[in-house]
Amino acid sequence: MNESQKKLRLDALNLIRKFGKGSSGQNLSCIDLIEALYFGKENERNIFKYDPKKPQWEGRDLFVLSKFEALPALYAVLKEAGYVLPEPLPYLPDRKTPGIEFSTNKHIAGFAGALGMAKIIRSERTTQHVFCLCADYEFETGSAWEAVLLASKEKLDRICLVIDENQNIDSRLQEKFEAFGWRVIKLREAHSHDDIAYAYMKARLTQRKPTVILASTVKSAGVPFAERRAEYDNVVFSDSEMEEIKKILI
Amino acid sequence: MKLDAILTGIGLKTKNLFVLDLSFPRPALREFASAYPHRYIHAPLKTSIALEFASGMASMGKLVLIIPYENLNEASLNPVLNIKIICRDESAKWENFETSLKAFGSANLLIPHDE
Repeated sequence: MNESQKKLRLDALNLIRKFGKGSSGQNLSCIDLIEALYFGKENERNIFKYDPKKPQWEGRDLFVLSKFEALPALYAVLKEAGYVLPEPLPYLPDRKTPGIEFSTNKHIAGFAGALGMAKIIRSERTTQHVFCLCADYEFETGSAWEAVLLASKEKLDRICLVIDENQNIDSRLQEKFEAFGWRVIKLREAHSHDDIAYAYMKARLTQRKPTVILASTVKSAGVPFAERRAEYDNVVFSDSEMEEIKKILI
Repeated sequence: MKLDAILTGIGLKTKNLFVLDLSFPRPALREFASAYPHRYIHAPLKTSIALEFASGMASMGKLVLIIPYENLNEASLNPVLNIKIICRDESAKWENFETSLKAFGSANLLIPHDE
């Protein structure tokens, strides 16, 4: 784990404690996926185009958070990237917040919205790209697969879906997405900054079909006493647990 | 179909008009689809997914018109997004259609029932 990943974990957990509620484990499992997107580079160029001084810049890439439980993780990354965030921070994704592209309070809604954005980008033939982070349990509903089929039918190659897989559901997502005509990239190491950044770069270069990156993450990654334990998915760490976490991460 | 002809005419002037057709089993618009294939999507989706898809398109600055399979309630739409939903009503008239379509915000657009 690099220094940036450790710092962002602490920031996200502090935000969750400030909200007084949240899903610590779910934030820790996917924060590396967001970190690599915003800070990943290929040949000294940012993989994700953004300008924190101009959050509405027309040429920017778009990141949509469909797994809204991970919002504290996104806030931590946005703050580190230089975005000026309002106080108090909204508990759900809200488009009025700089850096948040889509308001949502339901699962799979962010994914469907990201597809709408990708459709417009494809129609207008701009160089923007849409990245969307979803959880694997969002694809337990049938309506999610309607959206997957639509993306393939419309050849939305400007969307890269990232799925945070750690619920141990036997979902066979790779086979299903390939059957629906998507390009599937499976990460060997879902918490390695370089591996994730390379996958995003490959996704940007894909043409004529949408891309999905399957990341087999570890629940509560980075906090050894909570790793791989489902009971820490939706908790706020206590004071003593936070002290222990600070010793590990600092 | 009158809606098809009217929308094709409006689409010529209003370049940011996109139509999301949820009709099942056949598409509702043929003339608009052949005139502006990049601005027409025929996808019989579940309503909630269709509304979110339209919200994504509208958040990119587009005017999105949804032709539903059956009358929908637009109350769940974000009022600051430019999404209109076609609603069939006996008392509707065509004269106000274009003005209502171009008015900003989310709304139901009433069209005569026989369409």
